[in-house]
Amino acid sequence: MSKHANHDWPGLVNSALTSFLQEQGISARDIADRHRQRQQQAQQEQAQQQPNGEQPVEQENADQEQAQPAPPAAASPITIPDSDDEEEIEVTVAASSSSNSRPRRAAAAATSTATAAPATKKRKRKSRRRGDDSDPCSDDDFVPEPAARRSPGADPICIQCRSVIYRWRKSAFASLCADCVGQRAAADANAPADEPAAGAAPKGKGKAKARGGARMGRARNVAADFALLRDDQDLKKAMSTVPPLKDMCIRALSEHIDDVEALGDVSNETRRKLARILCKKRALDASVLPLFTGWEITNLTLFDCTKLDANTLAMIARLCPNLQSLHLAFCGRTADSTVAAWGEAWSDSLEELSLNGPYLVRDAAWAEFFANVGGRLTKLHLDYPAKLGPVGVTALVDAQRDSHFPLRDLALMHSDAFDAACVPLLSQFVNLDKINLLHSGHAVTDQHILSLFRNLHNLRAFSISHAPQISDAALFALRWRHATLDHLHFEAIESFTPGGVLSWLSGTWPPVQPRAEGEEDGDDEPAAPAAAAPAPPGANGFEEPMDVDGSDEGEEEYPGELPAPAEEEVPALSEADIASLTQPAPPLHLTTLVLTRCRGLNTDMAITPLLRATCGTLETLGLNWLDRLTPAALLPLVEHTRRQDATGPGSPNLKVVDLSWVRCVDDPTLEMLVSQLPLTEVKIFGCHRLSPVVATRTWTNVDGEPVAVVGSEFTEV
Amino acid sequence: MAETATAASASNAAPGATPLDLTDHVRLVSADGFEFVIDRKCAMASGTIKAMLSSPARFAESQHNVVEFKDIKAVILEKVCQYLYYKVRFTNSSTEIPEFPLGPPHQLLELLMAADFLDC
Repeated sequence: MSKHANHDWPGLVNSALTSFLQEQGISARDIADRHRQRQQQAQQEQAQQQPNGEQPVEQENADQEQAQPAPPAAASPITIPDSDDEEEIEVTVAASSSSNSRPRRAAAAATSTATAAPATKKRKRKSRRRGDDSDPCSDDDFVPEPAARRSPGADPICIQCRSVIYRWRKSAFASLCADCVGQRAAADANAPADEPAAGAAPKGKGKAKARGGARMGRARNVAADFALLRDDQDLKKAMSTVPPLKDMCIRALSEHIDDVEALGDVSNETRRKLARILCKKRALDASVLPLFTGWEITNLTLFDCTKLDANTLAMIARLCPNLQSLHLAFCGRTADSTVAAWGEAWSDSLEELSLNGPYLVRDAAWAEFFANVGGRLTKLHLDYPAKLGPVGVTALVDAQRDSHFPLRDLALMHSDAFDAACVPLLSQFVNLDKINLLHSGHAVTDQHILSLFRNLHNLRAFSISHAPQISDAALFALRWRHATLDHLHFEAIESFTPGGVLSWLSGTWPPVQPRAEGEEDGDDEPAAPAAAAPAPPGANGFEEPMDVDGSDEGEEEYPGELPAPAEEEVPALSEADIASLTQPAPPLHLTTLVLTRCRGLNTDMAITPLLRATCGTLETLGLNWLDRLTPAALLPLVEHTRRQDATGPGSPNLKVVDLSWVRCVDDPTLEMLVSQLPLTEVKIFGCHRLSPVVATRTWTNVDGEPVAVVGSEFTEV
Repeated sequence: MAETATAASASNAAPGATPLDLTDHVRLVSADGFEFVIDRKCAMASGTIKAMLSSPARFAESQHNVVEFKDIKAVILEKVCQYLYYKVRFTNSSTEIPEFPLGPPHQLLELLMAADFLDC
């Protein structure tokens, strides 16, 4: 976009062509003005000649066309960009002016126009030459006239220094001002007399030939020159830069890769650090990989395998035949052949596998791999296994069955092919204590959740997100795992309701949606929720919360009263399930509770009782995006610490809190939390009510230790 | 600078030592007690040292102009100091940049980790 906006229409954005025409001083108005001027000058000359002798009108017209005066030095004929034949342009102009009236053309034809036309051309050339003698720039088409041609904002601009060009040079450097052209000439003069760079403009006779040979448009020439200039500058800059010490060390290490023993005894921790450094520099490639491999290596972690192709990744199997634990990040080039080689080499050793990005591996290849190594796996983390489907999961189940399901930790994240046929198979991993289905919950239903919680007796950590088909029944089923569950992560689960939370905590079914105090039957909007502390008036003046997703007009995004589920919508919990779940359950002792973007729980009525039930053991709390909470919802975290008796569920251990986009958080709220809890980190992204003081002050927790307040960097100071 | 390094005694590098001239020199102390006194400008070529010396948080290093590295041996720290001078000498220089001698291969790993820590 041009630097100079269109002053006629300041609100519009110019296209690249419009910007170019403006910079060149080309506009329809200018062309019309010039033509009108020429006609006026011709008429004036005709008027001056008339007193000298009468001439027939036609002859006068013909003479007028023949004796069309040369334009003044500052004026120039009509120009057409990217057209290199100036002579043709001149003739075109003359022809167009003569064709304005047919009688004139006829008269011109009657009076040997064949001789006149060449004269016209010759006269044009002479005028141009005279123009050259008088003014070096007069031959140029783009020298702007003060009155007619130049329009506001249309001054030609140097593309290098962005200054206005007052003397245009008709050359390949037309878009550079005189100073920049001089600098470039000096740089070229100082350049070594080697072969010219590819694409460089030839000099001397070659230059003339190049100009007359493959002619490029003016804009393309300028762009090519500018690009060439940038390449020269970049090259010189690179040559004058001292390489970092890290890069030199990495390069030297790769050269000495054959002398691994010469590098000395390297501990696993050092090796891991080195891998991290190399991966941070994107320097891990096939030549450096042997540094981290060996027959004695049992644990291999590579943080960035971007530069390792499928064959190199497969080579790991030969280089580390006794590998027990493999962690590869950004291994998008893993192919079917790679996992096949791994399966053959590590069938008796591999126990832990963590891959980030194996999206190319197909379901059949996974099946073959799991058939070889699945029986020994205790930990399997796959992030973005885009093609892992029922065939692969079935093969894993079959392999695990033979060894009595040793799998303890399973994470299948961003699994696009993880469909409804795969989910029921998960409940067969009876020894699982961690299961992670973040971004893979699209096919998970309440029945699947019930089956998981019913069968996985050792389940400690459960994470799921983007599961539109699960509802309050899944929350209710958590009661089966109260004794073991300590990590709960729900993300973007919109079907949960405050009634479901109460049902889960109290052991009653079906869930009954709570009503705030003072709310009468039939009210559309619930009153402010009851809280131990007096609720701030109007939620501290907090008006309607900002909806970061944007709400459609006329659509009520947060209904004042949550609809009770209809009879036919209640999940089919069996009588036995209900009877079992309504039994008294052990109290919750969650250490991690994350409820990111659970819109159905975006109310104090859901969060307050949940925090009251879990605050005694919580170490990590995530309430990201629950923007309708009030500060009263967070009071249970602090109230517990105020109790003098020690009969509560334990001392507060809350270390990390994510309050990003919890709009009610203001300075007093944050002060309350930080000063009364043993926090180490608080995230406050999007908390717009916080003052700039948050970013500058030093925060210390109840133990006097520093607290990292993350997200305040973006607060305006 | 090499003479300074070899002649430096393994003295007690107490932070409360006499502070050097703020504008001129910085003292780098290795894990085994060797002290390297280098130009402040060269020390600032390391991103980590620069942050220590010029941070508005008023670290102790910035007040006394002494930086201790408890994980970097003297041999490695000496090489790092040589590199800092090399970097200052040839940055934005029109002369040809010679190759920097990294030393024996068995020190490359430690040198790499030190360079990573010091961000240079």
